[in-house]
Amino acid sequence: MTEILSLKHVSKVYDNRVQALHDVSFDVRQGELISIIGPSGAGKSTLLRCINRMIEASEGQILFLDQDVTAADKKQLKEVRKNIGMIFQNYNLVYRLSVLENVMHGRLGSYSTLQSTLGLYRREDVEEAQRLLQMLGLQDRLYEKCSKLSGGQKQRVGIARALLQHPKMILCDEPIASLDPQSSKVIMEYLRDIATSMNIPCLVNLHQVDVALHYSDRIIGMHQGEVVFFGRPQDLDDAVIEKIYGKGLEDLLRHGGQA
Amino acid sequence: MSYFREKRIRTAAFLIVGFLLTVAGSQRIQFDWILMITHFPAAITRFIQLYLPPDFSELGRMIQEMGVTVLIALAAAATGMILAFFAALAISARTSKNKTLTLIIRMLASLTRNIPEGVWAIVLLMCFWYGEFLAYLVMSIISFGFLARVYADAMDETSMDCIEALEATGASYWQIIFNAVVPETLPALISWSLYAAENNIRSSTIIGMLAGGGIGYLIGNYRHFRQFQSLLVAIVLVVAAVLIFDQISAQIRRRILQ
Repeated sequence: MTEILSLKHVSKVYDNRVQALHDVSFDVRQGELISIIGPSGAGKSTLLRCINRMIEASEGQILFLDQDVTAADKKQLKEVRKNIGMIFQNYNLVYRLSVLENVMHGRLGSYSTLQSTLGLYRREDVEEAQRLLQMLGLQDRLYEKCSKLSGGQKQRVGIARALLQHPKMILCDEPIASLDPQSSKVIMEYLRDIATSMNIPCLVNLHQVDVALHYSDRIIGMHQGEVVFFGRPQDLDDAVIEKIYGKGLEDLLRHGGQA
Repeated sequence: MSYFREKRIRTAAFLIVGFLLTVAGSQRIQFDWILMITHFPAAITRFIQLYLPPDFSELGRMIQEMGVTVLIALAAAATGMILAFFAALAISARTSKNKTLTLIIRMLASLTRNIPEGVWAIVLLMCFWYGEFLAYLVMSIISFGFLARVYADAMDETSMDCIEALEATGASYWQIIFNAVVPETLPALISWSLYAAENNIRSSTIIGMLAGGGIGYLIGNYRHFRQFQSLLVAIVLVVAAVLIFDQISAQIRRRILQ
């Protein structure tokens, strides 16, 4: 299996001297779904955003398709970002625009400002967006404003937008943290399918250990900015969970939520 | 108990300060309440003598000039809108890229906004020809200063989320502006622009008197030549125009907010 992404000794210290990431190393292979679990403030979101440089890492090397992302100039970075899809906890859609328009945003990188502003998208791109929305069960909502959709539907628009990028990898920042159990299941099934059938690796921040166990090929466990576990789901035993979540479930319940 | 007491004390203090300021102010300008009340009927009589009955003989010309005024006001608002849009991009924390530029543009907008239209008209009268162009220029400046401020406020309220998402797809700065910031703020931008146009029509009287052009020019003349009966008609016409425009913009707002 080919490595798509490889992180080597990545650290991040914020301006206020908070060390968000400490010496993080791991790799992502073709077609894998990797979950990142850990309590709030473990650095999961920071880690994800360092990969496409929405946040700048302080130290270390990030190799994406054998290219050093940390050393990329503005133009190269744009190419890197075009190749990495991203899905968010709050869906991050432009709510006053329609479903189709939001999905088309996935292709912005290959259009000029004038073209995208006037909606001069190529026909094959629009057709592909429609196909993706059909696959995600949103074919009847193409022209509806995104603000009118339910949470699960919004996240499916987010997935379609990411897929239209033709990504080589997808980053998912707590994709199901704002969703009900049923919608969560649907979204996780889609991500699993994207990894397996489309061969696009997904790196997914999660805070539900059971979801991570069920859907992941490998799991990264983080605690206070450090990777304390990296392995297969079946190796994630109680001792490891305690290492990730500190004093175990009690702690987890107290912190609950999100990074 | 002490919470509500504190609130009562604060309210009382507020009222006392207000009262004292009123007394001090009327002392300073030697305002005489009793004279004001006793003189009131005479003032009313004088108003009736001067302004009534209204003289409609020049109504045709007034309407024509009112049309010119509305045209100038709209053109000036449009100019202000375009300039203010780019200024707001430089001002808003969401969209600005350069702190020095932010500071300069913000000061420029603040300067244009905080000098009243009358002062602009007087100052620019020295540099430009008296007439419609000057009125247009003054209104553009006022619209620009006002709109730059409110546009920037609207942009500040755009959610960082969708900006982040578009950035992550590899979109350029201007693509993010036109595909996320503008769609998200469009209702506010249109709504404020209509308000600016309305403001221009309202202030066209004073600007026209000072700078020339449109209905304001007529009002200035009527005042100068003491044609108060026509003056009243002209003023009512301005009020009517503002009210009509207000209705139209309310309709437009309702449509776009859906």
